[in-house]
Amino acid sequence: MSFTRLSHLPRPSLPALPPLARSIAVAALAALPLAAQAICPFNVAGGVAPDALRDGVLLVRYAQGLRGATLVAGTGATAATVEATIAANTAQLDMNGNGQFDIDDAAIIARNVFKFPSPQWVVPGAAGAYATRPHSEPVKAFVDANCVATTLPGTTTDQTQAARFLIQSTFGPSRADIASFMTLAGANHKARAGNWINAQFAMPRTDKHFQYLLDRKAEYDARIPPENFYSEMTREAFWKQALKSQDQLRQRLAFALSEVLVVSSSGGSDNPFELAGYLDLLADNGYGNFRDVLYKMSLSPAMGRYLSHLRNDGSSATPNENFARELLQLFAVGLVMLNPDGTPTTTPSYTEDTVKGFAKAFTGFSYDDPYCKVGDPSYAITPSTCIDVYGGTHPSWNWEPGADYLGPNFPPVLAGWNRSMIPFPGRHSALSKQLLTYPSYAGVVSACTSAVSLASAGVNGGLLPAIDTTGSGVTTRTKVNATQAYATVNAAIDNVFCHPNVGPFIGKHLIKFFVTSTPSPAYVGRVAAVFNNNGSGVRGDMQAVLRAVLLDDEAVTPATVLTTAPELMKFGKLREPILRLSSIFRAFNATATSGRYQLHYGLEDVEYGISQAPLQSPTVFNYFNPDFSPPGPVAQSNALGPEFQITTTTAIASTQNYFGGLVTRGNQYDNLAIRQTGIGDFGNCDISTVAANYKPADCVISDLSDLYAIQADSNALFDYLNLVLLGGQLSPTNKTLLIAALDHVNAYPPCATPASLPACTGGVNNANWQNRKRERVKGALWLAVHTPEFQIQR
Amino acid sequence: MNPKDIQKRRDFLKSATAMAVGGGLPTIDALSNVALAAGPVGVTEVGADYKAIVCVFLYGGQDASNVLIPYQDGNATGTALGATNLEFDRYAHDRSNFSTATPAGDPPVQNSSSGNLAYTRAQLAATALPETTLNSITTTAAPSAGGWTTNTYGRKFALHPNYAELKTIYDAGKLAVIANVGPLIAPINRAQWYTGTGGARPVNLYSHDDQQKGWMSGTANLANPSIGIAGRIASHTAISSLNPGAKISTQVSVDGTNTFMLTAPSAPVNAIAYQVGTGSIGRLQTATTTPIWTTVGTVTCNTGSSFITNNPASPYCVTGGPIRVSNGYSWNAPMMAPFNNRMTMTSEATSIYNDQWRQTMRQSIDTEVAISTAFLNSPPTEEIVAPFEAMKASGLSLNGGTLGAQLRMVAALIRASNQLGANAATPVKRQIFFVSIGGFDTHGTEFWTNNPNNNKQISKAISAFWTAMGNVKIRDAAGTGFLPGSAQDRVTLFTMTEFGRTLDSNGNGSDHGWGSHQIVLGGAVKGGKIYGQDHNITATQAATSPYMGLNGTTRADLTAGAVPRVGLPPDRYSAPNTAGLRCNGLNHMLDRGELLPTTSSDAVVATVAKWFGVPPADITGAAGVFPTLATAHPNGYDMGFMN
Repeated sequence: MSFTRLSHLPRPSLPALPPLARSIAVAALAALPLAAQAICPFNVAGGVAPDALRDGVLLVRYAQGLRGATLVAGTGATAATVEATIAANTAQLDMNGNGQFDIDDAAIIARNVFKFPSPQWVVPGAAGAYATRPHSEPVKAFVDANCVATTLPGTTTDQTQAARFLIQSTFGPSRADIASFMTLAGANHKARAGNWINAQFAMPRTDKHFQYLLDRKAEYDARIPPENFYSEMTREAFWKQALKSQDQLRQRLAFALSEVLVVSSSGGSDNPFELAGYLDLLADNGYGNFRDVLYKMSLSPAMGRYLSHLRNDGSSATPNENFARELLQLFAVGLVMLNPDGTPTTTPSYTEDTVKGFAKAFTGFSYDDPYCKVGDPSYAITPSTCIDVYGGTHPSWNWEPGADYLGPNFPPVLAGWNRSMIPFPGRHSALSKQLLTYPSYAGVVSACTSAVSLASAGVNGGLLPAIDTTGSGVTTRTKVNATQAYATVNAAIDNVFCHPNVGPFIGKHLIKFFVTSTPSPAYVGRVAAVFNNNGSGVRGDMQAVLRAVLLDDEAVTPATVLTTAPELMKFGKLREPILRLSSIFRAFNATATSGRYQLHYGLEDVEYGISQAPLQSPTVFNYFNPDFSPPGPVAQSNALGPEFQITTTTAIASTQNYFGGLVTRGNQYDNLAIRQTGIGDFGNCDISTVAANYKPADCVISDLSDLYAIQADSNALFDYLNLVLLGGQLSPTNKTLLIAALDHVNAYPPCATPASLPACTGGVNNANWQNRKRERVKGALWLAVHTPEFQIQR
Repeated sequence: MNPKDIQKRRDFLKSATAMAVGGGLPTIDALSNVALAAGPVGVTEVGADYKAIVCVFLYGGQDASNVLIPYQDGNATGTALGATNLEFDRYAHDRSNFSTATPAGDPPVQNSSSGNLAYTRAQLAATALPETTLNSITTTAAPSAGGWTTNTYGRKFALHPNYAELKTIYDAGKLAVIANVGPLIAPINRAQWYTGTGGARPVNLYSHDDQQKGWMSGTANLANPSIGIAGRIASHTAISSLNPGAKISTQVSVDGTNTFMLTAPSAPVNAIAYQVGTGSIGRLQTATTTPIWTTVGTVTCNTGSSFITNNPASPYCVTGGPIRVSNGYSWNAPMMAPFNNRMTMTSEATSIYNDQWRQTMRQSIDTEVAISTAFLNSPPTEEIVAPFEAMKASGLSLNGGTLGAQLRMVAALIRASNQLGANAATPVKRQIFFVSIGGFDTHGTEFWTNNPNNNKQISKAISAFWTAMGNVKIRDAAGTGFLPGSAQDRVTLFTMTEFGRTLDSNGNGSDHGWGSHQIVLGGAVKGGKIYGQDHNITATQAATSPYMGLNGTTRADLTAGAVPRVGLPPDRYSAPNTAGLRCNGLNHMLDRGELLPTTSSDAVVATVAKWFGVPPADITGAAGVFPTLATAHPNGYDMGFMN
């Protein structure tokens, strides 16, 4: 809707106003004392004591335009006094917050002074046009605050620290998140952060991605006609938890792990159920031990399909090396031996023979058909035979959940996407397997004693012996049983997990995803040491590692550790596009009432999107290489900037366009209430992109009411945005520039007073006061998301 | 020039035209005024000294066995064609899933997921290339002294059956095929491979990512190269000095960042790669719509092309082609100021990431303005757009990142090069482009979808690009007329892929290999020929001969009935199809039909780089543009396919 049309809207009708005659009649029965909120200037007659009947009537009459003798007739008041008092207090009499004192406000005051219960002060839906306090509740808060609009306190150093920390560790903070963080016990920020992490660790995992998909599928199947279940559903599940789940640290960790242990719908893993199961695997196990993460990841059907070790046949002379190679190169060890602080040596970590050995280790696994084991009479599958009425055998080497002859809609089989792969007798290679070789190192934990012994050159040289099948003494693959296959995989995972590289390797990855792109070697070394031993003899304790990453002095107070300017300038990172987008949504509590977060399409588009979408990495190498160093200031500083790899000269503009478009546009279900309160002011259901079958409840809409409440104060507005979106990193000089831009006479200066309704002077659109409010909020948002400080976390 | 000036000029143009029309016959004065207003642009041209390189990367590993296919046998003398097609039969047999009978004639048509990866002879008839013969094989002279032209000794090869358009260009002598090429540090043969002997090998063979980097970096010996070939070429003084103060980088990728274009930290500014989209230049929108939250929908530009968020009333709505240069927003100066003022190339001394982001944004904004201005001055119209539009008739899309859409943007930017220099007197003289097409990793049943379709796209998109280049003139040095020929003469396009694939079928598709066959196209290319070293060349020969190994030993082979195999197995002279012995007679083929490259990928690009203007002295050597080329080809790298 354009401004022109708005400014020509008829004056609001008065559906909620009790007939004047009736209210006077009621009031005449008794002269009631005013309600408790005496500080609100309801005593407009200027009498010795406030008088509900007299003052209520005067306010209603005044709002109806009566002046002079007509205004005061029968009340005994002096017209000049009443008119002057009201004119001097319009802001405090403006109950609904629409910028002026009018009949809607008078009606609310009348109900107040006649002691209507506060929930009845505002008739639902009839607060009046442009109301920013559209319900009884905010009006009561306003009255309780002596009819003075609340202002937010200035930002403290501790709040800035909290915002920085929550940007590092969550999908983005809101003002409420920061306030909640500040209430945590702790003498200082670091103590509070530690307690926040503890609270996060204690949170149960309430929602599962896989269950979300099952629920949605049941719902879609039940529709008449059944609706197509679509492959983007995992992304819907992802966004729901990323944006709304309380266990933010777990979600962030799972997202980071999904960028190290990559599977992608752009590639082998295009089934929504397998991807959901994989995300659950990372979220469920992320707080556990990294060894379990590696083990479960390696047996995940999503990974098996993505890197093709699912149905990798041990009878082949050259089993598929895809997973073997990436497990070593990308997931845990890396190409060269690392020093304990993560700096590289020139010694290769492994040879092609090692890759071939691991390829053989990961043979013989395929899908686990859950219904073979437990049976399901309703589908005529009995556990004893694992043969169903159709003659299919379960499980079989070639069975798969997505291509069952009963079709992918056969409900029981879906669970197969969510279960670890199982070994099949006779499919696992019996040959000896060359695993990683590495020398023993200081501080080997007990869990690694035998793995280090196997890997050590002087002992076994990393050679896992051929499987000697019982009885025959021969090593034919046909005799290898499931137990032996599991033993191989466990030995292989232990061999990887106990490699000295893993601590610095995974520690550095996590630092880069959470805190800074170019950590100092000492920081990496400290985190790696915790990975190697959490202090209780446990290697790979992910909770301890996360604490080490997030609470390190280099993360919390970088200036105290990085003492030279060039070092300090290398601290921080470009936030991934997904995290910038999520922070915009989370800062304003964006919500879809249906619980569906359908941010599916086009996010990855380079020209129109943000060049990144969850679980859609173009390759197993993730969206960006962790060691990428963009030509320019970063490369010149010998630093790294992985996220810059997808920040091309095209993407950098289109990503900003996406953010700018999101915060400045309205949404399909735009209405006056939305515009004036800011609740639902922007959302993902822009009218130009809305699909035909889009449901209003699916619209992910924001709540900008905080910003609307403070919009007249540019300083407060940018303080707010600086805190929640920019981590408090905006310099005073740059804040001044933003204020000057917004307040510029040719931009969106505040309207001087509400009295200037409908037109206010200055500004690009000659807006009225109410619309100017919205322009100012949106303009400020646009300016904020276009600052370098929004893109870069420090 | 800022957009406002363009607006004025266009207004003037419009009024001048109206005046001329309104006054009846156009007067000389009116026409001159129009020409003056338009400046020395408005025609479709490149500068007198213009040259461009276009790299087309085939992501996933091209199934090279179906790119150059034995079609008809020759005999040892090359004077008469063989009556049989045993080499084709071997190809068909090896590509089947071995359930078919012994090769004896054409296999049945198997364009299904049966695991037979071969095309039939009937399918290949239209794309069969002419054989090349020697007058006499008794001569001691090499068949193509000074170059690596292959003599096929009467054998015929066919291009991929969907390469009809490329064959036409081959026949016109403007397209060459490079046989059996790949990243190579030192020559290697089959015996060395299986015994682990010989010189250094590229790191992480068979790995997609690493072999992509191997092709693109010219340093296949490095695990994670930080500089690419194009980055080195563009940074070289001889090249960067040709584009002083250019408004666009010498390097433009239409496919995001890539190793090919990575530059050293010390690279000149005009070498740092610019990335552009296929349909837009990445213009930043500003919050200046009226009102600020106006919902913008899809509107129709006055050409009928649909531009998202484009404003048909805007002067920036480009007529003539679906290349969006602007979105019709005007910039609100006060709102832009705090943003724009901070997007500078100077450090704010707060954060290197902040500086990096601001500089990238600055490059994005500046280049977009420059390109938009060039396009607005002289919109890419039918001569660029029409050849690509014609692809749609074949059912091919020009949407999103398709190869056709990418090459269309390349063509438009080549055409704009004359306006993207620092000023009219210094047009952009050198450009390097990168485009790509994915979907070649055909392990599985997608083989018979992707293999025909991808190669069809390659042929049609490259051919459309070639036609578009033929419509672009070359301005003479004086700026008063045109040189003969077209931009075709100034553009060299080549393909790359990380690796070839196994000749053998794995039951569904083919697996990772090493060597592959590529094409080079351009007016300066001595085309209509196959280039490459003898497939069966020995390590010794490779070390002593820069070109096809016609030394004494090889001639002895010839007289004994063998033919140089030019990197194109299988042939009937290889060992029998017995398990364990397959390909045993071939020096450069492994057991599953993977090729060991006989030519380094660097040799191809180096030959083009020399044409492009990189001084020969700086081509090889550790500090050269191709650091490992000398060890791969100790006796010279110039393949001789460039004029």
